Amino acid sequence: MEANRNQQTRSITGKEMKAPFSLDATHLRTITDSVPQLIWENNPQGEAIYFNKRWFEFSGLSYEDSLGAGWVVMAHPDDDNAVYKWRKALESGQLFESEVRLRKHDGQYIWHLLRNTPLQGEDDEIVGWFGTATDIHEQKRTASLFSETSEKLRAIFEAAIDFAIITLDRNGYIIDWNSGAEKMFGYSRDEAIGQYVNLIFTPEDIKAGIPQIEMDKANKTGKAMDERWHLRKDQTRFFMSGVLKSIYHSSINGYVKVAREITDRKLAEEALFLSEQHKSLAVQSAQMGEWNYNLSDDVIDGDEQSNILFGLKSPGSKLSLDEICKVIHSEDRAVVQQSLQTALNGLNIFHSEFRVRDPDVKTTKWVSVYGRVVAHFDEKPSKLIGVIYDITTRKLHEKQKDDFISIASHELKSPVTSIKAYSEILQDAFEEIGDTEHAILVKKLNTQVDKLVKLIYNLLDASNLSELSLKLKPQPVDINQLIVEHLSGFELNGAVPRIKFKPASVPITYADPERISQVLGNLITNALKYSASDKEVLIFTEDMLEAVKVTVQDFGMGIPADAQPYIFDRYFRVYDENLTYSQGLGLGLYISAEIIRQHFGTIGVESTPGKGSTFYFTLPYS
Amino acid sequence: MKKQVIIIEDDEAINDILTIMLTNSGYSVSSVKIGEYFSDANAIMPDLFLIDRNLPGVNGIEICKQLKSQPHTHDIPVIMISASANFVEPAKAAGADACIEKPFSRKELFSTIDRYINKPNLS
Repeated sequence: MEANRNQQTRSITGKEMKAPFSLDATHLRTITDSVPQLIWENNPQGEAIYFNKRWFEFSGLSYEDSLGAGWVVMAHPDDDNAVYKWRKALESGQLFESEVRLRKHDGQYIWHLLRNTPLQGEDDEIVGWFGTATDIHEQKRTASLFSETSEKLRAIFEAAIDFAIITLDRNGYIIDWNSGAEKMFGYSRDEAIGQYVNLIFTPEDIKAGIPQIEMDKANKTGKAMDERWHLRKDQTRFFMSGVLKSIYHSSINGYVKVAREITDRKLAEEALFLSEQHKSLAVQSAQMGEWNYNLSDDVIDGDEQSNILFGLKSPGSKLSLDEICKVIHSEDRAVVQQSLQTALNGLNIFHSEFRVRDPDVKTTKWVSVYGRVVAHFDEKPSKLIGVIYDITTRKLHEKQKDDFISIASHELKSPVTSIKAYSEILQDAFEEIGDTEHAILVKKLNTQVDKLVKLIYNLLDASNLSELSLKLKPQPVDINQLIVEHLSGFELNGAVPRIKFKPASVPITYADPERISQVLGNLITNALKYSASDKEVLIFTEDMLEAVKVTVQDFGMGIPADAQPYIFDRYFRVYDENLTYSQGLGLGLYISAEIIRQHFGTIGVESTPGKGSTFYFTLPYS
Repeated sequence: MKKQVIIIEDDEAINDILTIMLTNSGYSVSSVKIGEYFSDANAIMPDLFLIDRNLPGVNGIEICKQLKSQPHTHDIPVIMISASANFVEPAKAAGADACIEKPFSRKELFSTIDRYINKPNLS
């Protein structure tokens, strides 16, 4: 038994061999026939002289065919290197060991581990060889598969250039570094391998012990997230998102970090966050409410502040447009609805200032609502978002200012009446005594008084308009006739030859003739004033199917592009360094725009500095 | 016989200029304090009243209403004057025959007056 154990672990001396062979050859044959290996014996010259039962089962050879060459006849032609090694072993008397494919009886080659151990005699001369062949076919196949898989993984590892894949040993030293890591960090594989993982961390993270903390966490939980700024070789920073995994494997015992750069995303997120913060701050500081309106299900959904401003009782309540309209002051409702309709019909921007009443406390507050169409479905607006804020105080101040202007204007009327009357009396008196020179002076005084009167009326109009108190007296109007009548007023100052009126055939419209005449007066006076006296002023009418369009075109100095959006604002005056056209209070166009707006029409301007301006307005037929 | 016009106007400047214009045009003009006029049993019965809408402590429209409600003044034309454009309707409702808005021209004043009384004798 002792001899059998030794036989498996080291070469066998002649003395040791002698005992079992001489002991019981039958017993030994039984043992060799029962093992799964192929077993044979060679004489000192290497000729095979004995084979176990498994040998014949595997090879299908006869005893005679096996004699002599032994396993060499079964060896795969590509494994001749093993045959060469066996011959060398025979010469040197050294142990022979090799992996060889042996041909099975069915022609299939099966991988075997071959060992031939020299048997020594009493004088240490070689008396024979003891050979075994162990089937290692499955092991070889698995190893081959593993190798193939490893190669594939390696290919993936290197191809993943957008991912840094870094392998660390248990102590945190870099042992592998793919091309993605090279690209991301700027260190070559040779530069990185062998360095401590601190290489890629920022000084502040190193100081805070982040690399070790990550490894500790990966040890405890299997992985640690890595979402932080990292450092490149050129010391620039980038934001990386990844994971550090702890791995225990026969070949690797350490960590793998897989990560990718998301600096752009991170910066975009930060910008979005900042933008959100700014917006939130703006909304909060202005005490604004935010709302959105889904047109498909007719639901207006607002935040708490929005609901308070809309006068809604239950926070978070969702209401339909009709329900919201009910809280709008009855006098403002039509204007708000018109403005909303204009936004939905293609303007996409909604802005309205209106009163909201609180039925419980019977108070009214002013709100300003801005909205924008942000989504369409089937080419129709499907969603509006917007803000609402309280403008009650502003409206109060505006009213106080308007009241002041109104009172001041009224107070001006009495002294102006006196001045006008006195100047008329004086003019009469001078004319009666034939003092023409003084009569002309007083006439000029009268002209200035008339300008003052016009100014007072404009101020009063402006203060009335802001209270939405312009009372229109609409009636059927032939717009062409109205223009002709209006132009007759210009005959007095000799402007008519410059004015060319081209009327189109248009239906009767329904408007306040006095107010429309006021608009025409403003537009025509401006056209005459802001263009040279030899330039024409064109007026024409057009039938726009649902409305009449009136256009007043001049070929004068035009309006700077940056001033055009504000030209209809109250008190807006175009700044001109030569002060050639900044006269007046900036009310004429504002009043005109308000008059047209209250007729549910539109007003606008197209202008090119140096070439002229084209003002137009429309009045709906119905 | 000159036509008689009574001016009820607290603004001295307007009162003065109305007086001058009417006098120059041949009218006899009296300016009265409203309280005194109604308490005077022998008050003049003019051919026309010119009344400012805004008088201290009293509304010109109320005075118009009072004049139009009394038999002896009922038929005398009343012309109301105001700096406000929105006074026409209430003035007409109170019985005013015409309204003139400040600032007005001499032409406007006399064309209105002429509609209610015959042109005075300038002699």
